[in-house]
This record gives sequence, C-alpha cells and structure tokens, in this order.
Amino acid sequence: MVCKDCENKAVYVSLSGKNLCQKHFKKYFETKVISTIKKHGLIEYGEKVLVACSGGKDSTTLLSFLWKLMKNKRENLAAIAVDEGISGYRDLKLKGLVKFCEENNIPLYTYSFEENYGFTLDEAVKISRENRLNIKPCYICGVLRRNLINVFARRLEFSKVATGHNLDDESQTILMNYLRGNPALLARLGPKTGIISDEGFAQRVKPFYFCTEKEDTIYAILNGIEVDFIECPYHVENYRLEIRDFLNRLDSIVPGVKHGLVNNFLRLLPLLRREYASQRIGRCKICGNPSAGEVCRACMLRERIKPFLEEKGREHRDKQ
Amino acid sequence: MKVRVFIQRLRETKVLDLDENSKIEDLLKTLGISLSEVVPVKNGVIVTEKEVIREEDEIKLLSVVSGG
Repeated sequence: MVCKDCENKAVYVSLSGKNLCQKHFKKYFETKVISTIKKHGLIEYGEKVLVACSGGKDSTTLLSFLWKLMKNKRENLAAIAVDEGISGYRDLKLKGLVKFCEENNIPLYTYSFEENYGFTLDEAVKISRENRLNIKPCYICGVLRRNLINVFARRLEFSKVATGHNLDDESQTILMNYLRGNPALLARLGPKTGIISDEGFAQRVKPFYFCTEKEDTIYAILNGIEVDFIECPYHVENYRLEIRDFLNRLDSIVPGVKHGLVNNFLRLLPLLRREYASQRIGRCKICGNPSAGEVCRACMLRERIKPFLEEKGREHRDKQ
Repeated sequence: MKVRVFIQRLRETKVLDLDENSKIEDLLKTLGISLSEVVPVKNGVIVTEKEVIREEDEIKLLSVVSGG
C-alpha cells in the first residue's frame, strides 16, 4: 500500500482513510499539533513552558517536539520530572529521560516525594494498605505529583506546563468522569485546563490533544525516541485500564468513537465551564496553595499519612 | 503457514498458524488485539494493517499504551 502523496510505502492509515508514508505521516502529525497549539492558544510567543515528563514516550516525544518547534526561543523551555519513589519503575524511566535531556542539552528539574513530603509512594501505598485507609495508589500519585509540578512551575516562573496527554488519555478521562457523575471535574478538562485563572496555578496545556496514542507512538519511533514497555507496579489497580481497554475494543468495532467522544465533549465544554466558573478558589490553610476547599487535596492526603509515619519514627516533611 | 510474532506488551513470541496471504489485520484478529493498541513492525519497518504477511517475515507488535 503506497502513500497518498508519493510512491513510498505507507506506515499509517488515518481515520479518514489516508495512507501515509514515514515522511508524510510526520508532516501530518506536526501540522495537527501546531494547529492545536495555535487554534487553542496553548503557547503564545515568548511564553515560558515547562514540559511535565515521566520518562515515558508521550512526554519525551512532546519535549522533543517543542524543543524543535521553539528553536529560536529555547531559553523558554525546560523539563520537570517527579520521582514518586516507585522502586524498579520510576528510577528506570527517569534514567532514560536524564540521558535524553543531557544528549539534547535540555534543562531538567527533578523533585522527589521523599525529599518534599518525607515519604515515597511505595511507603504511602504500604501505609494505606496496612491501615485500611483505602486510598488508591494512582490517586496518591496523581494528586501529589500535580501539586509538586504546580508549585515548582510557579517558583521557577513558568506560566505554562505542557503535558503529553493525547486523545486516548482525554477520551478515557471524559468517560471516567461521566460514569462517576463528576461534571465539575469534566469542566477542568480540554486542551487547556482550568476554569478559573489564578496566580497560584500554572496552566496545563496538551499539544497532543487531538493525536491518538498510536500516532504519537509512531511519531516517537520515527524520531528515534525509545518506546519501552515497563509497567507501573500499581497499574493493575487502575480503573482507567478498564476504561482504556473498553474504548479500544469499541474503537475496533466502530472506528472513531474516541474522536467522537472528545469532539462532542468539546462542544459541551463551554456550557460546563460557565456552570462551574462561579466556584471560588481560596487558599489552603495549611500550605497556602490554591484550593477550592479549606484544605487542598495534597495536604488532606498528607495529613492522613502523617500519623503513621510518626508512628514509625519517620519525619513528615513539608519542604515545598 | 506458521508465523512468529513478538508481542511487546506480553514480552513473548507466539507462533501462529495463519492462512496464506493473511494480512496484519487478520493476525490481530486471531490474537484478539485491537488495531489502536499496537504499531505493527514487519522486518524492522512500520507497516499498516493491510500489509500481507509471508512465512519468513519477522513480525513485532509494539505496544502503544504506556505502562503507567
């Protein structure tokens, strides 16, 4: 099967049925991402952007993409990574990221749970299991990681945090929140997150929003970015995994359901945002970061874990 | 024909019995893998689901989904 634009062999068939070779696939992908950035005002000229990196292919590909795109303003781009303390997983992932940043001369800021909270994710999960706190590992990880990224993005004076979230991730999150009946969380999604602007928030943007995970994997491979498959040990306890497999199965029967889900959601998003725009953002009485409640989710979590750390004679840290 | 397929997500190689002139999409159907979950690679080159497979071909199914 040959490319629709030349005689070379196709590597990808788009949803609309276009066969694309390596060269024209790259062009198709890059055009789509640049158009997303422009149309949704994700990154303005001269803005400082911090790429939230996990060491995985999505965020590393985004970092590489933006590094090329911002070739005339490279001083405005850097990477941030959080080491949650997941033994045998994050340490391996971060090794690859450090190598990539060193080879490409990209500044990388790394912060750890251990150093900033006084415990690793492994320890927090163990405490939760032993004491039947019933806090899911992905919840602890997500809340505390987002908190560190936001705090340090503001401290380092970056106005935007770019994440490698793609169309698959977004369609999963939309469906998860629909099924949980959580419209307030839905209102925070979209290519540019957040309903209310607040000086305490670094806005999160998703340049790969309209690219499928398969597309960004192919783009990564064609650009020589390592695509490994190391699974997080806590992944099996994840509700998202069920939703992901369900959507992929459905997409193989009805191609385009993920695109349909996201595009229809975007039509509803302005209504949702209007509905929830009146929510007030105050300050967490413990850490002072923006929070809808008296205490932010990160502090709530830490307060639940803290007594068990003290029982073990461990010091609970608050360095952030 | 017998075809050897390396499935990255499972970290294992399977030998499948497929009809002559089978395509990647037939192979995926046999394995119960969704097209959007893998990038098929034949003899070191990314191919589409319409690619015809021969007995001597080396097939790899690279995982699209990240591990965490």
